[in-house]
Amino acid sequence: MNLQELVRSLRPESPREFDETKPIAMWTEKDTSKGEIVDAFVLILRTRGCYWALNSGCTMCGYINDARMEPVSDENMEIQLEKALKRYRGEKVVKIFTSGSFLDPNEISPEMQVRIARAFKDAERFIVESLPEFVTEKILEPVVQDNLEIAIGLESASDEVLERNVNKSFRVKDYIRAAELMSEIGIALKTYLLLKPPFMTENEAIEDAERSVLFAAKYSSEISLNPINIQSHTLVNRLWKRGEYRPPWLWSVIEVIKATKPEIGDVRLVSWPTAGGLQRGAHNCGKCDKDVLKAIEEFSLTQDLSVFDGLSCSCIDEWKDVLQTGDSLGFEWRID
Amino acid sequence: MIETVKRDGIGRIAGGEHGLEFIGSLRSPAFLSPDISPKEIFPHVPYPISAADLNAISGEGKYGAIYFGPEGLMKSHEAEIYWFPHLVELIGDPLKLVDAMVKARKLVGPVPMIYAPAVGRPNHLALLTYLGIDIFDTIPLRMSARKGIYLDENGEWKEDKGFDEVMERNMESALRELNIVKRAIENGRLRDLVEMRARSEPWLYAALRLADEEHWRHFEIYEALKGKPVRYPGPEGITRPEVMRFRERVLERWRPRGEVLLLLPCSARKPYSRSRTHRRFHEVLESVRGWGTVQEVILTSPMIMVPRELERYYPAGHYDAAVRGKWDRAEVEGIKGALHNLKRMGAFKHIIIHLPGDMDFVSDAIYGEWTVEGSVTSERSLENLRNALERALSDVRGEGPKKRALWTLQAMAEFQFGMPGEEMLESVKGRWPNIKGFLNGKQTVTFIEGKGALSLTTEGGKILAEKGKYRVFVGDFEVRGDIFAIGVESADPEIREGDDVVIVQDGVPVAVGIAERSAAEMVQAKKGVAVRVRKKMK
Repeated sequence: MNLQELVRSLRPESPREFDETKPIAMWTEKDTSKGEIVDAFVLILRTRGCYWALNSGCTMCGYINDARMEPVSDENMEIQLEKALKRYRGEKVVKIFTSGSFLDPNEISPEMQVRIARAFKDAERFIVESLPEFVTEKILEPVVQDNLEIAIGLESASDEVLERNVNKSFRVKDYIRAAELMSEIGIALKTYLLLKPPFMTENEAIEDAERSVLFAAKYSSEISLNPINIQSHTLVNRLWKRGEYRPPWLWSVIEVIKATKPEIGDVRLVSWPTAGGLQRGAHNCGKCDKDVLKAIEEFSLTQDLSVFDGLSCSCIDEWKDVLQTGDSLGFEWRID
Repeated sequence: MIETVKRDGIGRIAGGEHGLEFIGSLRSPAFLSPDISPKEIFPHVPYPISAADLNAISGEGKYGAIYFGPEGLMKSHEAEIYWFPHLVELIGDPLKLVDAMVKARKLVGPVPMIYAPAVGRPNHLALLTYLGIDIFDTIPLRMSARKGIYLDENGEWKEDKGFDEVMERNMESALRELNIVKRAIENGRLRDLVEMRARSEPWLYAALRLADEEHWRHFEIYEALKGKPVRYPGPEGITRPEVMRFRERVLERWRPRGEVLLLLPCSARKPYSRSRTHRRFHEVLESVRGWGTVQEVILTSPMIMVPRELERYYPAGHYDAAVRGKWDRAEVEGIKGALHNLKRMGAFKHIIIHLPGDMDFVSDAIYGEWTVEGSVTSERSLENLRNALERALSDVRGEGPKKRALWTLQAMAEFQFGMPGEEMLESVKGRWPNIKGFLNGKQTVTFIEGKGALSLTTEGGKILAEKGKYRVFVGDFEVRGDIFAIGVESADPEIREGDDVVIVQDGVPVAVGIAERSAAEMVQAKKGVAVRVRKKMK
């Protein structure tokens, strides 16, 4: 079995019963706009789901668990939008995600893409997420508006990692093409990067993330560093359950930030570790997780590296041992 | 070139040009120096196991890898020292760990060294060495010290001390235990040590029992005919590899003679016939005319069933077990099973059961005349025994001591060489224990008291070669003195360390001697003595 087949074999088999008139979730969180910390409205629409996840999928991605697998009609998408607008209180930042690509016409029809975009045209930032495959002139032309930003999950700047560790649908050159197109049109790019995809030691993961941040900074206005968290029906989940994978340490998140932030100038570097401090997410020893997470959050909002000053715990030596061990053995010896 | 310096089962002390740096030693079992980065030396195996599943890993040269690949457990290439990077994942899982190590040893053979990274807590060292790991490292000592956990041969203890202090103590106890493991190997007592240490964690003990129950044949191959005292204090004695070998060979290679069966209890003293109780049994037996035909079988634990002819053979003549006049289920079932087989193997007209009352379970398996009243050596019991023997022997054709001696030596030849005894000898000369076997007027075997076994003469060696048993085939060189492993081309697979063997060169038997290694190892090894030659053919 190759990696593609393996990932696929772990997927849920049949479409699940979801109410296609309800968004998956909506909430408000903090983000920044024009240099200030403001409220952000997050909307996750129910769609057919990511085309790649339906075929094979990435090793860490559990989006398929929320996907309907069957198309959602324009009428029902309209109802989802209405429900969202009822909740929307004019937050300055709006982030709209699907469990796939907002720009994929098979998930959201071109007409509905425009309807949704225009509904939020007054926000300061309107962010959608898409695979670079759908970042084309033809698709962008009707949707484009001043506040549009597109987030692309590049995950890693290494084709080898994309192929062997992530099982991504595209390669770095596809990202570059999309990024250059967006730059021409004047759409801001937000890039998502992974910290510690499977089949890597903690050390290799840090190195890959650092390389990737420096690379993505050339094209992005913002980079979000996403430490892996364990989602069901994924390869990472299977490895984790067999004791073959540990989510990254929070110290590693800080390590990557400290090493790259001074090199990337104005490009914003953020990290919001999902399930942070839990066994299923990036975590340290349990004693310091709360403080460390708070510092990472603060940095993400302020971009101020000094928030990490004085942060320490006895587990930092343990983490250093893990790095050293992985370094000398070429594989990681878990200590959880 | 890797050389086994001293073997004790699969565990061993090994040396040679391994090219690695060990802490305080040149020989394994050892801890790899923390200054060494194994990643730079051994072929890369993707982490975790599942990633390796997808690809075959290749390599070249002295250092190789063992890994879980697309076709189960695989090796990168033919190497001299392998690392097994993912074995650490199986620590704590007795079934998988034992299975993996058995497969790993089968995969690479007995000679190459195996390094298991991130493995080697002091209380695991004995068992892991016993399973076939040669090289450990200090990572587990270090990682435990980080958590303030002090390790020793009994397990782990929480210490309220700093890293440096705990690490230093962990290192001390690990090196101390490693020396104990080495000493145990040198004294042929690694298994004893394993049985002690295995009790420090349930999974270790489970691993030991599983190694016996599921894989004893694999371990038995490397178990020498030690001919030294051996102790069976615990219930796992009954499945020890050399015990299982003896038990199986009794069923496969031995057959009862005569028409009168006498079942007897064991004695603490070995061989049994040296004990007071057995001497008294024999006074009674030998006072009855025709006694030579009586087949004596001793029922015991953990050997289960020891025919009198084989009572000196290792380990029947050497063991000390925890006898308490009570019998465990495994012992009861073992003895009953053996008796069912015994009934099938023999054609007994009379069965006399001279066993103590705590062995009354025997009557579930075999029907015979019980002769014990009170103690097995009470006047009444011995009188009953004499009467029963007289009645039985008046009904069958008796045999004298001469026939008895012949039968004994023939049974030994059968047991030892796996061939019909009468094809090795047809007459005996001498007085016990200085007794020799002859075929066509030529001496073929000599009984060796200490070993409880037969030693081949050159004539005996020729017969063995003819029968196609216990042969070591050597290359084209002049045989002078011992045979070195480098000269061995192949060997019959039944050969174990300590066996009498015949050296065959170009189809012709040229010498007899004692195997220093099992067949598998003398074929694979490039260094060391394979056979101590005792006598060359003229």
